[in-house]
Formats: sequence, C-alpha cells, structure tokens
Amino acid sequence: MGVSTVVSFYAADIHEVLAQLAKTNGGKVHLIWLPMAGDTGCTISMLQASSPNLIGAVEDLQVSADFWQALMTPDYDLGWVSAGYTAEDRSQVPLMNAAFGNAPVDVLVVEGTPQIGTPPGGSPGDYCTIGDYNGRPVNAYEFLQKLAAKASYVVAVGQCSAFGGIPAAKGNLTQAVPVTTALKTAGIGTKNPVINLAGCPAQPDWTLVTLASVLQGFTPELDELGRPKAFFSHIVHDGCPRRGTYGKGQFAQSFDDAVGCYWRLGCKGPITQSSCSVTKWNAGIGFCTQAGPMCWGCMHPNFPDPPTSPFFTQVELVPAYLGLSVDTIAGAAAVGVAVGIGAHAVHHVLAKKKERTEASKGESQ
Amino acid sequence: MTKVIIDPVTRIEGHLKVEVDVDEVTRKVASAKCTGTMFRGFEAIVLNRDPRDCAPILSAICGVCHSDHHLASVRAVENAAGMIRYSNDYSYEQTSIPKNAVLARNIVLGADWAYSHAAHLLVLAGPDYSLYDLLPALSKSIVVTSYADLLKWVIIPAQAYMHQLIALWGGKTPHQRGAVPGGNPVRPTADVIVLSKAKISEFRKILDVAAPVVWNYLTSKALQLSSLGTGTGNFVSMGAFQDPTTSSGTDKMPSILPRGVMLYPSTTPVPLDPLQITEDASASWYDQPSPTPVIGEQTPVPNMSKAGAYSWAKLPRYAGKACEVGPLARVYVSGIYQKLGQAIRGIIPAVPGLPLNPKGSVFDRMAARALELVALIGSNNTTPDLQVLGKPLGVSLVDVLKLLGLPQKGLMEAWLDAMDVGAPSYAQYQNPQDAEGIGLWEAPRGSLFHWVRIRSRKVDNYQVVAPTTWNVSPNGPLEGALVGTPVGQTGTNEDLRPAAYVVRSFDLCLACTVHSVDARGNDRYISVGL
Repeated sequence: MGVSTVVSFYAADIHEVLAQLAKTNGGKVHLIWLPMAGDTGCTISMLQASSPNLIGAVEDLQVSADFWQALMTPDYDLGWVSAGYTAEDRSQVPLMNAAFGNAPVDVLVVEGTPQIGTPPGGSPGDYCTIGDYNGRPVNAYEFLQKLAAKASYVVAVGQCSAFGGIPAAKGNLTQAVPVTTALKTAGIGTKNPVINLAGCPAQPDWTLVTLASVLQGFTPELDELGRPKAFFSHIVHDGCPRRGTYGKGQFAQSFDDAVGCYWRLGCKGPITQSSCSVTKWNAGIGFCTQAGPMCWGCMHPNFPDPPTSPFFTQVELVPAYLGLSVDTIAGAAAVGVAVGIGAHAVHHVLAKKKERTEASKGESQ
Repeated sequence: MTKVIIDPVTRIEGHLKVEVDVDEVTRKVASAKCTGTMFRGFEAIVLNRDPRDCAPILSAICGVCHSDHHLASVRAVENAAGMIRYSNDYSYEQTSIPKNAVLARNIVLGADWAYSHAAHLLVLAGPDYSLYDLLPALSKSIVVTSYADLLKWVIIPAQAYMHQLIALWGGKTPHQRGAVPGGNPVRPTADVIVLSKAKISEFRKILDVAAPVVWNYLTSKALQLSSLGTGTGNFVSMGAFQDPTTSSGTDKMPSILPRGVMLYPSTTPVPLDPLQITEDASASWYDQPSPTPVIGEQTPVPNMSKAGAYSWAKLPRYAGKACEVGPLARVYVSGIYQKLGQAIRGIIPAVPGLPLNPKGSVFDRMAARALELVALIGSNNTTPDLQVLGKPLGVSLVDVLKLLGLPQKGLMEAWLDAMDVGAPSYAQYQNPQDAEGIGLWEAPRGSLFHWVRIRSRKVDNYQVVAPTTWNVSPNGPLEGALVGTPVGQTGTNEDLRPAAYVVRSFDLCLACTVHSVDARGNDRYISVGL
C-alpha cells in the first residue's frame, strides 16, 4: 500500500486528528529529523519515495518538519515558515527550541546510530555533536534523550538507529547502540514504543506509510523487535527470482551462473525478514537479489555481523534445522518437490521462530 | 575582530561548523576554522573481516555518494588479488574482470554523479543563487510556478530517475551493492539496457531545459564569483571511468577523467604517486605522529583533550601540500576545462580562458560540476542560446559537446551501447593469502583512496581518505578559500551570503570526512540559515 493509498484511505481520520492537533499544537504536526552517527543515506532514500514523492507527502500529511538539516532550503517551506521561524533561524534554532524550549515535538525521527561512549577528554556521546546551547556544544545523545522524552512517537529510521547497524558493528570504538538501548541506558521512557524501520537504508515508501500512520495518532502493529509487521513478516528469499531453483536443489557455484540459488555463495535472503521482494525499491524497479549479486541481510537485526557476515559464506544453520545438509538437499534434487517444500519450510521456521524440530517434521511431511 | 559561527551548516551532507574571524576594518574574513564533529571509526570496524566484506560495510561511510566508497573498496580488494593492475605510473589499468563489468560500474557511478551534481546545483547550492528567480525562465518549458513545484515535479523526479537507473544494475539504491570483487554479476540484457536509456532520456529532457538557464545565470556572475573562494591551486584527481572500449580492451584502460596531480604554480599535471599521500593529525582529535603516510597508517586513537586540536577530520596532504579535490580538480587535470575555455575564447575573444581563477574559485567549481553533468548525460538541445558574461555565444549544448569531442548522447549512453549483451560480467575471484591493494576512484565530490592490507585472507589494515577530508579539514582548501571573503554588516544572514557561496561551492560531504558539527558561541553568535 503506497502512502497515497493510506492517506486517501484514512483521509477522514487524518483530517480529524489534524484538527485536534490544530487545537493543541497550533495547526501542524511537528516532526524533528535528528541526524546521529549516520551517512544521510536514509534522507537520500526518502527522496526516492515514489507514490507520492516526499514533497507530495509533506503536503498531503500537513507535517511541519521543523528540523531536517540536509533538506532545509530557504525557498521551500518544509514547515519552518508556518512554525514561525525566519530564514535566520534555519540552522540550529528549531532543534534547540524543540530540545530545550517549549516548541512541540510530535514525531521524532532518528537517522544514524546513537553513540553513548566517551571519547578521551570528552563527555558521554561527544563522538557526535550538533550545534551549541548557551555556549555549550550539545551532543547527539543528549538531543536524543531530550527529544525522545518529549515526542509522542519515536521512529528509528534505518538500520543504524533501529539496530545499531554498521557504526555499532564489531570493532566499533564509540559504543554505538540502537535507539532503544541508548534510551534504556539513559533511563528515558517514551510515550509509545519505539518503531524500528530496519534497512540500510530504510525503504522510503514503508517509512512514509509508517509516518502517515503515527501522524494519524496510532502505532502500526509491531513485532517483538519493534518493526511494523506489515513490512517485516516476509522472507526475502520467498520472493526471489531464483526461488524456484532453490526448491529444485539447484545452487549456483559462481556469481556468473545463470541458473541456481545464490545461497551457497552467501545470499542472506533465507534469513532476512523484510518486504523487499514484495514492494521492491526505487518505484518498483527491483531489489538486491533481482539485479544484484545477493541479499546482504541489511534488514537483519545483526547486520553487518554474523549471521549476515561473512557475506560471501553460506549460512550453515539453515539446513541444520531440517536435519539436512545443503549437499543432501542438492543430492536429493531428483526427489524434487518434497525436498523443495521441506527446504521452504525452513524459512518459515526461522520467521515464525517455532519449535524447530516440530516445525520441520510437520511441514516437510 | 568579530567571530562569526555558522553551525550547523545546512544543506550539506553531515555536520559542519564554520567559524570565521572578520576584520572590522576591511570587513573581510581574516581567518577561518572548519570543524568536523562526528567520528564513527570505520577503519576499525572492517579489521579481521573477509576482504570482500569491506565494500558493503564501507559503502555506508556515505549515503549521498552511496556507490562510490563501495566501488573504491571493491577495486582495492581486486588490486590486492591481482585482478586490477595499475601501469605507467598509475595512468592505466589492466583488469581481468570482464568489459561488461567495467561498463556497468561506469554506468552506476555515472548515475550517482549525475544525481549528485544535479542535486547540488539545484537544491543544495541553488538557493544561495536565488534559484527561485530563475523560475520564469524554467517555466517556459516546465509547468512550475513555485519552488515547491520545482522540487516536486522537476528536481525530485530527476534525481529519482538516476536512482532508478542504479537500481536496474544494483537492485536498489541508496547503497546498491551490485559490484563484488570479480565484477558486477548481472549480465546485461537488452531490456535492462533499453530501460536504462529511458531513464537517461527522461533526465536529459530536464537537463536540456535547466542547464542553459543555470549556465547563463552562473556565467553572468562569473567575474564576481571567480574572485570568491580562491583555492590552493593544488589539485588532485584519482581518475574515474576506466575505458575498456579502446583497441587495447581491458589490457590497458585509460581513465576517461584521468588521474594526476597539479601543484601550484604548475598547471601541467604529473602522474599520481600514492606514496605521496599523507595524513596530518596535528589539529585533529587523535593521538598519532604527524604527518603519517596513509599506506600503512594505523587505526586512529581518539583524544579530545589534545592541545591545539579542534576537529575529527585529519588533513590529507599530497607531497606535503593541502590540495583541492572535486569536479574542478578533475576537469582541470584532464584538460577538458581549459579546452572549453579556449572554445569560448574563440567565439568571444574578450573572455579569458578557463579556469577564470587559476587557483580555483566559486565560479570554476560550479562550472566544472555543470560541465561533468552535461558530459555524462549528453544533450538534444540545439538552441544556440548559451551565454557568457551575459553575452550570447551563439552555440547550443549540443555544439559544446561537439567542440569538446564528447558524444552527443553522453558518456553514459555510450557505455550502454558498448556493452556485449548477454556476455559475462563476472570473473571468478579468490581472496589472496597475503597482499596489499589500492582502490582509486572519484566520488562526485572528489578523490577516493582506499588501501587494504590482507594477512591470512583477512583484513589486517584498512585506510580510507575521502574527498571532503581534503577540502574541509584543518588548514585545508576551504579554510583558505574563506579568507578574504567580504562580510556585510546589516546584521542578517545576507552578510554571509558570499561565505555561503564559498562553503557550498565545495559540495561538502561530512559523513565521509568523519564528523558532525558543533558551535561554541564566542564574541558574537550568529545563527545563519546557510
């Protein structure tokens, strides 16, 4: 469902919610897009939203993005003018007012990983600072605490904020952690559960639908990892163009093989839950296993650490769940369909986290 | 002396603080300090991993030049594995990956550049130049009545076409991960090539309308803009877009934008020598000896209490000198920019050659970016309405491409046409036991240098030098370019408009550089809507 569908479907509700907000907040839903330790890829990804595009969505949703550093253009009011800010204010003032003043914050979007570590000679969180308040540099971790406590909804957009992502990978020097962990460490509670939109980057259409949902005042149904079920219940592998060859036990030996599943080459599609292969990306053009070597597991909570990496090594655990090795499956290709169904069951075992042995017995029969 | 602090600088990637001291008498910037304030430590994160795993991780150094770090890393690993060999002082490359893969990489990265350059000219820097004033001209062909319309109907769709083109070859984007050591596994098919051309064609239609308007506007202000933001006169290009279509095939590929170095006052490029690249951390929050050769450099040890340090950015130097990188460096080193200058001078003798400022300037940086964009995308615009200094040149965009010896259909479409449909795009790769590799590439914002050392098939050491680091770090080109910039005294952010031109002309990308920005208000604090 594109965001435009959501918007038209809930148009009456949105109108009502916005009317209520107009009474309490002065007419707009106020959104702060907080950049933490990240690469702005999720912002660039938002520019790829297709139905409608970002500007259309901002208009439709009547949102006031009071602070969105990378996109603050003086000639286009993404919310600042209607929020009462002038051109001179469009640097740190809206952010400071939201964090330290009385400016309302309805939705806090976090892009990038919170870093809670203390650099030698600095304070906790000083690996990333943004602006200055009363002569004191303020770090992103402090902004997160102030804004999350105040916001009605906290949406962690992208792998970095949702699960730590690459900045929090093994070997990191900055104690980078997911938003939920950072808030727990700081003892900050949120009014609603933090919504985790995994992915490197976050898929923009899903993000817009999720934002449309919270802007209407309700949290979408979340799984145990805080992800909207609508976008994180599928297995990437199930929608892969090479899915059929997997069922037949055909495995590619080289990336150049025209036929065969890339599982042995390291594809993480079988262990990654997301709707990539359903909604696709970039206006429906494709997704990683359609026009790329493989799924890298960028929406898996552990990305880029095991089991998503080593990226070019097959995930050993999958066949073990069935009591079958990959060779057994390949060797049994002649048996065909039954094995295919059995192998298929593996992913649902993983997805649903059922009792493994029971599920494999039951579904492979 | 008045201190002015701009923080955070908006409409750039990442976090930057700029602090300038203004001389009260001359009303010009006397000194400048740029601070990067985000540190993530990527080089430590890839240690001990499979060398092939570096690219998908290092890709996330930057989400704006989202394909460039990925490719630079793949190339470093391929160099270590002997699949890419540099020859003739790094001027040529021999590769064992298929021609199709070389071309596919050019296409993906060309689209990445095109989107990035267009976004910079129209969205990031555009507002500084009152792009809104150009609407009447743009409206002649495109139905837009407001800046919001321009964003919604023109700019956002244009950049999306380029991202869709990347997705055709890499699955999705940002962060396509289509290239792996050994090639780009997807074999080119006729339908993907046709779809790719359609995306370029749609982008070209927009460019054909916008490019002359923006060019005429920029060149009408050329004299003013060429005196602003004078650079170091030192330029580095690591080379981009290897050409496998010459008679030497993939055995001896030149870079279409060649690699080379120009050190002031010489304007003759010399070959790049990676051993000349060092990093100086004397003003950076790290404990390490300075300067240190990048090859073999160790993972940084953060220390914010270090005396005299004020940034997370280190200063890369070439032969001990601070150098500018980016579109201007590339087209200057390649000679194509000078060629454009000669062509213009041949028509209007009063116009001096290009670059207008031999050390680089706001104008030259913007013009170079526009030139690269048109070279990649090509043009169908035959209306001879291009101007310089407000005077008609009597030539069209198509004429310009002809004058420069570039394909009218653009480099990207030429690469698509050169592909062997259905032929392999991947060659078998194996991790070397012990090896070192260098990945040279150019991101839209400038030179990328990746170096990997592999021991026992694992990453033993990895170093990255990113484009904006060259430009923005302590004592780098941006700080120098700000010195002498006039500052008004109306008390509004218009006072700093010239400084904004200078800062944004470098098209900064701070995530690459390492940082985020902070501001420490001192004598006088101005929060500027830069």
